[in-house]
Amino acid sequence: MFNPIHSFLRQSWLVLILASGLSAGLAGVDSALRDRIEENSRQRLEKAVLEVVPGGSSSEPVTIAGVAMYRVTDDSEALCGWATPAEERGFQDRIRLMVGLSNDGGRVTGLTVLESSETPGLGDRIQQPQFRDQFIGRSTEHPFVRVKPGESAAGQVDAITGATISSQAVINAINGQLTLIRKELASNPNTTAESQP
Amino acid sequence: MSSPHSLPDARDRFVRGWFAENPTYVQLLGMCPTLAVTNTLPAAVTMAAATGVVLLCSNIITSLIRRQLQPHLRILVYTLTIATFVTIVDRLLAAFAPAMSRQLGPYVPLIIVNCIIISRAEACASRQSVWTAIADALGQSGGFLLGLASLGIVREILGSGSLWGIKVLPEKFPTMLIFVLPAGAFLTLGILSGVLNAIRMRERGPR
Repeated sequence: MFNPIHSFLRQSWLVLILASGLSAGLAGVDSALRDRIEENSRQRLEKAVLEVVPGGSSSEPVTIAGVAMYRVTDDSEALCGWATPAEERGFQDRIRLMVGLSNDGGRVTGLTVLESSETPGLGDRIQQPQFRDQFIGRSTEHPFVRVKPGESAAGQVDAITGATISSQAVINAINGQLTLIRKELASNPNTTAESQP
Repeated sequence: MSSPHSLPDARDRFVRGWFAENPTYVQLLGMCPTLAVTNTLPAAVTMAAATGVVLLCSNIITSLIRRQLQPHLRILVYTLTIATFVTIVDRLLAAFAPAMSRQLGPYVPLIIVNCIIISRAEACASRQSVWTAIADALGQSGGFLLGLASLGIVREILGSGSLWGIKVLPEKFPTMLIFVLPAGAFLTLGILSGVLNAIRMRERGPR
């Protein structure tokens, strides 16, 4: 007599066993490596945070006005600046940045690109110092404005030739983040913003 | 050489993979990683190594279960096996080579659909012994490495003026951006395949 269960098992026992075995293997690999992978990305973030705030030696994540920030302190545990991740849609994919700000949020102290898939040779020049350095030391009072290469004045940023969208995306990301937090930081210069989970 | 009716033996399988059945230049398989991640030599070698590990594991498993395998379920089983080992390799890269893992991005998970691996499971591992399957995997991986590394060398030198990250061309020498971009991958692959075909045809002599 035809038994559908028997027929199913006769055909699929190998698939069932393989699937269980391979899943167990995957679970094992994941549990063995997960901590290390998380540690890698944490270290990368920490490195970026300290890179954009000169003089910083340690950082702790805080939330200010609902925005994830890093409070950066120096060796004597005095506040020496803030770092905040910023992101915006670029030409290929999202561009993720880390922006460093002075204690009162009034100046940009550094900028580094965490993630970008912009076109090699064009958009990915946003990662080069020639572009990033334009933001460093600048006042955050007014939003940054993009201009054609070689025409920048105060508060303006030279776009990269052939990469208008990527340049604008970086500017938008920074401006967007600044509007969220600049006032909070300015009104409370030596804030010891309460840590939140 | 084996007779036309029997399958090649292990030694034959190993040798063929490198040149006579080179995955990149002769079979034209695995074109996605070949074009996408060969703009630098380190990326090309890492991709070839990752694919090689997955191919070896897939061939071993497929060969071990070949007598129990239901023919109509074989593609399912190949995919299951390949996807598992690709995920393992992907996690290993993320844990021990995070920078390279970020550079290769989605192209490591995409090894799952690399047709070199599934074609070797079908052509060799599902019909032959484990040793033959291992030899086959090593030969094909070697051929794939040659293919990717040759593109990586040409594109990194011409596109970035460096090799394995070390400057080899004088600073004055103009680097050609196009060789870093996808278009450069197509140009390089086309020219290299053309040159290799010309050499092969000359060796074969006039018809």
